[in-house]
Amino acid sequence: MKEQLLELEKKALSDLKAINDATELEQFRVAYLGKKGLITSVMKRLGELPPDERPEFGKLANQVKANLSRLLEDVREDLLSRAAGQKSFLDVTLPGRIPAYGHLHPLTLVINEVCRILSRMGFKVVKGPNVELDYYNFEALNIPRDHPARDMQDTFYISDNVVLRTHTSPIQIRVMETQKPPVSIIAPGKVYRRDSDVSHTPMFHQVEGLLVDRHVTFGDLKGTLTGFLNEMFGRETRLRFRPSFFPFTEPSAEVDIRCVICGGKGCRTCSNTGWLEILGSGMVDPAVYGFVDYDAEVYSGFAFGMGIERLAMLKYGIDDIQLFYRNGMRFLRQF
Amino acid sequence: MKISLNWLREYVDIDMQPEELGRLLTMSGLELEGLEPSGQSLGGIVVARIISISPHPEADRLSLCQVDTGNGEVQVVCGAPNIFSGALAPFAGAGVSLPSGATISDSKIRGVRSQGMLLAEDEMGLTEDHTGVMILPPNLAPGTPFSSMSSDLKRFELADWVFDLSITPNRPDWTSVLGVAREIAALIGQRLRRPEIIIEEGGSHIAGLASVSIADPVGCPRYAAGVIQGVDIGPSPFWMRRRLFLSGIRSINNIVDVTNYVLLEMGQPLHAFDYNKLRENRIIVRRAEKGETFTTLDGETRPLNDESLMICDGERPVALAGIMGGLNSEITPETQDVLLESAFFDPVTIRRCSKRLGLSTEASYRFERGVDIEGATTALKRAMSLVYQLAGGSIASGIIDNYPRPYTPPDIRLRIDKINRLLGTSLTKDAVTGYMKALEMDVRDSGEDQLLISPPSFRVDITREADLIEEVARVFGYENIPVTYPSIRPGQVNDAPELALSDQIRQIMSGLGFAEIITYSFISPKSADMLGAEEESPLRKFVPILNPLAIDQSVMRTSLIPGILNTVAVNVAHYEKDLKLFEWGKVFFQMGEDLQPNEKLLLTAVITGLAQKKSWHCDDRAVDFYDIKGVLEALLAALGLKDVTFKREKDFNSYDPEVSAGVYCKGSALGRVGRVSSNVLEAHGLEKINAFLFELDIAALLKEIPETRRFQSIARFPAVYRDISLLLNRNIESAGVVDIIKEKGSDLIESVEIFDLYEDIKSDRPEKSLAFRISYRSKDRTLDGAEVNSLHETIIDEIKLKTGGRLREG
Ligand SMILES: [Zn+2]
Repeated sequence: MKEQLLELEKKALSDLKAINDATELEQFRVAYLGKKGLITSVMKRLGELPPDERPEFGKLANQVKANLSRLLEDVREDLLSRAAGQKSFLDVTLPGRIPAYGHLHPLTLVINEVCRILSRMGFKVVKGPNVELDYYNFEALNIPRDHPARDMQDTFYISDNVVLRTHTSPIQIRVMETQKPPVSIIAPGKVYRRDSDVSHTPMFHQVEGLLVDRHVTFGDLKGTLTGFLNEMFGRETRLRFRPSFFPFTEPSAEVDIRCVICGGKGCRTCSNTGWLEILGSGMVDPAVYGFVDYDAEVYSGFAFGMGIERLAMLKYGIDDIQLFYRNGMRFLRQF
Repeated sequence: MKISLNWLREYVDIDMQPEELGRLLTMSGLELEGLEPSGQSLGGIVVARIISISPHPEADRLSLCQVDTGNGEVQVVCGAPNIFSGALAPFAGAGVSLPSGATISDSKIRGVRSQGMLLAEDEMGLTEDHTGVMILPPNLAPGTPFSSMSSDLKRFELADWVFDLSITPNRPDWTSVLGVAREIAALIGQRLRRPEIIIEEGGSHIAGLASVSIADPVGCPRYAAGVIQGVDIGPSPFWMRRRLFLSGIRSINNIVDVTNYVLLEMGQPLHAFDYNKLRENRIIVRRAEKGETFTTLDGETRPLNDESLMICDGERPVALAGIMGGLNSEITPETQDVLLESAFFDPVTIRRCSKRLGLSTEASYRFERGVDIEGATTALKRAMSLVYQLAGGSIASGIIDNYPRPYTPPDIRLRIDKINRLLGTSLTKDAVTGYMKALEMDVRDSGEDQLLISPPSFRVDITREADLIEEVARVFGYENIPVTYPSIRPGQVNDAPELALSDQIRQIMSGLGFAEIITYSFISPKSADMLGAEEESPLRKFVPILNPLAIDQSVMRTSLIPGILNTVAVNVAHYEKDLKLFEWGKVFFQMGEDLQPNEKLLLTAVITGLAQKKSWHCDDRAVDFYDIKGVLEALLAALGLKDVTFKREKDFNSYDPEVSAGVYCKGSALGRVGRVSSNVLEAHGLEKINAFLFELDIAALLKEIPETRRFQSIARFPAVYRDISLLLNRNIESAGVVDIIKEKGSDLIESVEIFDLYEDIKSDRPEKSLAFRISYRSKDRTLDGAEVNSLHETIIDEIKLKTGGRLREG
């Protein structure tokens, strides 16, 4: 009887393979698995066996039946999906199974862009500590302790000699202290000023740049920054260099670009001047070379620094600086 | 600094629009921050004559005025105390708008008709004066438009512009109207007119009236003084009050106003003492003694120390040198005789004292930047002539000028070649000479390629060749310097070691569905408690900020968790509950007072809410431990890390002790992963949120990332798969079983996958079933079935032996 059952299974399996449509499948089901089907009728003959063989046969019969049922369902599904390919309607507007994707912070995107442009020009990207010695943040940048230039930046103090860096410029000193020219570096990072209102956050980001070598001129400074800003804001961007003051550069220049909002006609963003302050820069002051033991008669160079939040606000049209640090998804999702 | 255009015009002829002048100044380094019209919207206001005054029937303080407006007679209710019949005053009739925006109407005031308003100066935005209506000179005709008076009476100068200029700390010579006028004159090639000084000395000789001795010549290199006797203290004339007003200075009385006026005009701070309050008629300049106190003009009593420079009389301090005068010698309405001080104080001394006292004034602002030491007596004489003009009296003959070491200008070498090498220009010696002379420098020829320059005494910023080169660049014009492109030579410096990794990690994390956040580096000192940190936890090694803006930003963070959980809270408040966030940033650990902290880079990520949202193809599924662990595993695998292991850990701060693990690579700790403990969630207001975190130490990670990846040749021989289905004690970790398989099968094990886990929590047997699929593969041959079967059996036996587990039946 066992052999009979296995024979039946073999036949069923080959029949199953030949099935082409739902009608044939139903005929198959009735023929084998129906109440009066072949498998069922074999199983009904269980009583004909000696009692000690019954459990084993029962188990086997159940296995065969379960196996056939499963395969039958597979075929049914197969038929259905084949049918779907031919007839049923594919709704291409249903949303796909979208894998999760994330977002980089807009400040990261802008820092990356700035670094990419300047790296291509040959600047190396370096980093420095956020909590900085007074010496690097001020003293060696030609900002002595009792100088009014200290008022230009409201400082967070950790102790008399330790501050939260107010700019990324201390990295200039740290690099020049250990490396002889030529030096060409940029340094992105967080900086801190004791200032918090609608347009200021107590922490923000800057990118610093420094190039020192033989024969570096103010013309080179203009060229480098022109090239950079043209990449950043487009070839047609007009810029202007105007005199300013930074203790560690001389001559110092503030760099403005034509207002990207109003195109120069004057608007709220540019306080009706038609220009946007975008960069501080200048030729490295010889006093700074004194601190790092460079010969100011042999070497010259320029430094520049820019605020990333401002760049990001202009680039993306963000009107509230606080948004960067609130990190709401409705903000982050847009980048 | 705010400056009136009309005032500037007194010293230099300016023939351009205010905006154009603003641009010119900005391009020369004097940045225009604001430009405001003043006294320009006075249309409709006319000169009117008060014909008669009678009391208001209902109000004691009000009067009824009959007023001749030049266009008929009207009745006006007026509350000013200074009106008299016959007086001329500005009048606004019904319908006229004032600069404040208010429009005058024909109305009833306390039951009586009032057809307009007689105006005070502040109501027209001219000064801040509101003591009464503005009384005009008597020779005007009623009906004359008020705004046209400026041409009639020059000093009224009603229509004006106020330039708000940002002055860089290197240019104290620009902190005065005359200084800015000088710059304009140089820029547009005009002559500078200097203020008029007319001194009619009529009094006794100064030597008999006062003396000055300087005990601290370092703190006070020059002290000049003059005396005027018999002055009439009173209000200043309109023109002076208006100019002070436009510069933001309050009018006090004619004497004090003169000192402020000259300060604004010439940049020299002055002080006026009540001469009769100076004991022994002496001035002594000395340092304060420790423990001394002094009451300044503002009524504050201030502690002094030996750094405070004091102006004293024969007995006591009378002024805080260069910062503020004393209450004990101030000018009062009763003052008869005045001693005027015009001194030069050492910038560092004044700055230290001002900083220590937290007292910054117009005077200290200028002294700490450096005033023109040579200008002290000119300013003194200018002030004396104005006092005489405004308050009468008689000027004592002569002045005191204690100036022990007169100024000698520096000689600075300026090499033409150096200029051109630094700027990238090709300027000639003649051109440079011209620029220097335009700036009032003394220029001498000093050999073929160089000049010897002596800057004027007011240019305290010029001491070196570099300072002169800057001036050359400024006058030549930055826009005229040719643009060149440097060829950047590679130096010794390399990109920061974590740079590539930071890019890569950010890309991977965002690819895995996470949004990057950036939070402040300072947090609340309570955050350690909120994270459940124990006493000795490094989370408590805070670096405190001495002068924080707020208590919740007063220490440097020791963990990124507070920032990330606060961000979760912010988002949850906006119904954003299914979050995947990460932050890459530094934490800071105290290394000792006065030392830089240890700065450590961390990557922290969090997931909350649903891992999968119900959609047409799936159901909601809440995040769990294996979601965050999976992200971490994917990240580490993508970074090329091998041999990453996880160990259960119960003692991590912030984590649920039952659901957390340490992450290791070849035995060294990389970070942590797990569920945020309920206490911590609650402390951050997130009791309803389920959140899972991981933290990675970037420095530790960097050490484990293979520098280069070595290619492994792809196996050419087929793999053989065998499954094992085990019943194991619940507490046995799957990794232990995998380890046994790998150890036993050594290099024939290609991989082990766990493809099934079943655990019947209700069952009383503490068992679970785990199913493994082993892929056997050899690098150098095709494995035969018998060999694999026998190895597979050994492995099963080993597992049974070591875990006490058994094979699952069926
Ligand atoms: Zn604009």
